[in-house]
Amino acid sequence: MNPSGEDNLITAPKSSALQMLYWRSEILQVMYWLRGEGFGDIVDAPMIERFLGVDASIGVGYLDRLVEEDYLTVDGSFYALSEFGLKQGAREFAESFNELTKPAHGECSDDCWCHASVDEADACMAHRIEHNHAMDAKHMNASGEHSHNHGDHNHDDGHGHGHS
Amino acid sequence: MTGTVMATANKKKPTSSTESVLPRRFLRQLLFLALGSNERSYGYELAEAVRENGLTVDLAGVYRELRALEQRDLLTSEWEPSQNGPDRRVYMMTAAGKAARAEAVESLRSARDHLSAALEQASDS
Repeated sequence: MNPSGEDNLITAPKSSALQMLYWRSEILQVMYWLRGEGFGDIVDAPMIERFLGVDASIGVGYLDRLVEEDYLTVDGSFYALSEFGLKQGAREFAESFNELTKPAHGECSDDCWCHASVDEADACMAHRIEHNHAMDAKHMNASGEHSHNHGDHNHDDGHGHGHS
Repeated sequence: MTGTVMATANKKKPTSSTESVLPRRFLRQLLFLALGSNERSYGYELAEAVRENGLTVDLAGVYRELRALEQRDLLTSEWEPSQNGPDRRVYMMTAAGKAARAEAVESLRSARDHLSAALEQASDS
């Protein structure tokens, strides 16, 4: 555990297909949470950045998408839960996404998104290949010869693949 | 502007404060202390307990820390239905969380003892 508390960034999947589902879940959960805590149900992009760690300029794209899907309404830069969004219910929503995020199998750590989605598994594989090529190049530069070691595929590369 | 937004736009928004007696690194430990005092805790009351213990942190920070603790299986949470208002997220410590809480308490005690010793030394000199 990092005592500084700086390791609490919420980890999103890498593939775009899952990212939209992921951020939809996260944004709606924050809005349900704020509502439950008595803070109303409006958010703007900077608030999403503070709560979820997603860059505000990216978060606003997800918010607009949720407006298109009728989960939210928008007034200027503020977004509110729609009646449809409320009707979905926090528990129903959480349950449907719990299934999506359950780990199953694979080479990565147990909580890696690749266990939940083919897209994410592809993204992980692509990242591993890219990483291993980079490591090979580094070894070549260091030793002056090509290395055939393609790594252990444990995602222990310090790039957040532990999904902690 | 829609009616829904008009109805919600005047509601209180989360606010942040800049003054804090303790550094932010104590957030996790203080959350553990607050979580240990109840079987089931709500986000806002946890944030209030942390503030009462000298760490001013905005609700976003508490939310993210709670999510992080949940992802590490130190906490579990569920939506608690309410007859009178919206559902609320309620947090409970897991067995691993209780062990982490004991570590957090020990860590805070150690910090207190070191600070006390340092302050005594400073006042003697």
